[in-house]
Amino acid sequence: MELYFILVITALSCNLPGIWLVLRKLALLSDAIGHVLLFGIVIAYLITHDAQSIWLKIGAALAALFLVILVEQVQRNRTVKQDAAIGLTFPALFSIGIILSTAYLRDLHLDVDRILFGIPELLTLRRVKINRFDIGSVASLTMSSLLLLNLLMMILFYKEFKLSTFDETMAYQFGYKPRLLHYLLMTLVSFTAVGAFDTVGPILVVGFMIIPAATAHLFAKSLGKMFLLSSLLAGIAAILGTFLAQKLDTNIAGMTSIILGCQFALAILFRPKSGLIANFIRRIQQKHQLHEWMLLVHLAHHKNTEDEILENRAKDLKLHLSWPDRQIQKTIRTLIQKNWITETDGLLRTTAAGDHEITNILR
Amino acid sequence: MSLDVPNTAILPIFGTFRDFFDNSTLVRIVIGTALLGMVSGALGCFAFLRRQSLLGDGISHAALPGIAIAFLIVHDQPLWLILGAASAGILATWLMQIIVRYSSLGFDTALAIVSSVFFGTGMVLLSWIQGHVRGSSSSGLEKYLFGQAALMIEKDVQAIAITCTIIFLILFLFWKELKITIFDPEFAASCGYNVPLLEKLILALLVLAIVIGLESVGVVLMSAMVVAPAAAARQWTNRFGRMVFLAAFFGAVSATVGSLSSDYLATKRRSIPTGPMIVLVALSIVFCSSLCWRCIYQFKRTFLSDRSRKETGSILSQNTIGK
Repeated sequence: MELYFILVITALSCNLPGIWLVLRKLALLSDAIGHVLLFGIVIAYLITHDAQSIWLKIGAALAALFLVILVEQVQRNRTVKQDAAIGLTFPALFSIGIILSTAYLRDLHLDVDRILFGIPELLTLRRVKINRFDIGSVASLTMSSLLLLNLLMMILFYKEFKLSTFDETMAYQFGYKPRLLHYLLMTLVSFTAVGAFDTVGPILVVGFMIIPAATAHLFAKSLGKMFLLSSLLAGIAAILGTFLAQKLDTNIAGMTSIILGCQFALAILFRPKSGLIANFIRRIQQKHQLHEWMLLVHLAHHKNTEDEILENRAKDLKLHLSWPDRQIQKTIRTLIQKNWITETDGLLRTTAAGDHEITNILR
Repeated sequence: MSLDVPNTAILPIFGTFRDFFDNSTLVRIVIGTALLGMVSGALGCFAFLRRQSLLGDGISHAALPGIAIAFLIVHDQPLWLILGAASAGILATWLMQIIVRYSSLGFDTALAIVSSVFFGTGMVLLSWIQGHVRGSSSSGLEKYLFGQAALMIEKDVQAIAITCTIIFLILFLFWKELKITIFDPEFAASCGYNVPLLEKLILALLVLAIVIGLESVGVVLMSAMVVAPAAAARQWTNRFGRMVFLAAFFGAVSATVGSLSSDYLATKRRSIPTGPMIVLVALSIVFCSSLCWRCIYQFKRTFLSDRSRKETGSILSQNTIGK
């Protein structure tokens, strides 16, 4: 039960800063931060030589902030755009981390599985006790306090974040400090990433930050609704993912990111009006309508002229329109059904209703 | 003391070079990684200029489920694993394009979504494989994640060489078409080229290069091998042809220097992984190029602006005197 609680709390606390990352088009920074934490942990370990120290976490958070600053410095070179700046900086820190850890930390067992995937299954084992009274696991306490911190910051600086995200110039004119807000957001992101890193691993951190926010972005018309919807989606995915992973005996982090992906896929497929399926249906409808109109206009054009018998016979339409047979038959059938044309002895003639429709089309 | 320094610094390097051709493992690694660096550097220019530098990162993450499924079907056959990874990578790029086209989300968000979902799927599949298929351990996974150039065998080098030849041949044959598609897709379409097909061709080549490199450089570092040579080459030139050529050169140089230095720095007590070393060399080339050009620019600006100020000043004073 506590496992579900931890996963949901983690999902919600990752989701809050993640929404701003998606809106600010900084989604990949979360991915980069997830990779850079190793560098901070290794450096902190080399200084403190204590695998349990809180300094490892602080080192990881500092490494994430260092990355954010580094990305901005690299971008000052005009030929290097933001994506390239991210792509250049995080592998640098990551490879330094790997080299240091393989060269100097052979005795410290840095478990690959734990660093890359996280093992949520073991979370409830480490517990905090005060006077022998069990008040909960370390993970649930850290994540709850992170969630509170994120929530507090979002409520306090909602207006400032909103304005500086959508219109930085205007925020600047109003006397807000967009740069400072950017660093505040990045601090929140890196703290949350460090906390959740231990819990669910970097891949699911990226998943929780970006995917529910992106799914909500497809639907929501306002920022408030987007916050609600994406928190709801993240919570559902966390519960469903944990449940399925335990049923099927697989990796919780992987299963939850599959659920998140399914949510997004369903959203993009079945979204009303602009979803993939709605789009497909509308295109087919438009195609049929165009066929009907073209045939109707063709018939009307030659109606009551000398070559009407040549042009408007159902059999010879193939020659004049160069359409496939099936398409002609189908279009004629629908037009007759709609009572826009009549067929007498193979000759097609528009009806009064059809003529009226043509004036509408050609207007 | 000052006399000792050159002795200790240079002699072992000479020693390394003398041993170089005796040591067939090292030759193999250097040739293999240099070819990889060349091809990923050249193709990286396309991604770099389209502002999709992180495509390498996305594709290399997305390849994991492909590898896992291929492993489930045919077990440990390198060629099939590569094919599986390539098809997963191509599927991932296709999905990214669909997301960008049918939503208001940007390319970066699409990349983050697809790569994390694919990697998650891969993790689930792998944990299933480790639980259910006998004789599988996480060693293969570790090799995939961090890359182990040291385990490169002659077959791998041959595979890399063949793929490199194919990729460069295609680049050479379709050079004009690919170039125009990168810089001006609308113009290319109006010239009658099949732009969507050419874009797919670029992506497919990139996926192929990344997948081939995964085994020796690893997931995270393959993305740097795509970006870094291109970024370094971009500092030196404004022409695309020269940029691709330079990027291939930088890629090859950084791979050679990186694998040699990882071999040279390693002792019995500590080993230095090859992939990260290559990436560090590539990134330091970027850093040096950028620094170099910043210095030149600064120098030119101070020098030229002083002269021009003097000239305009003298012209102004002449004019006022004349009047």
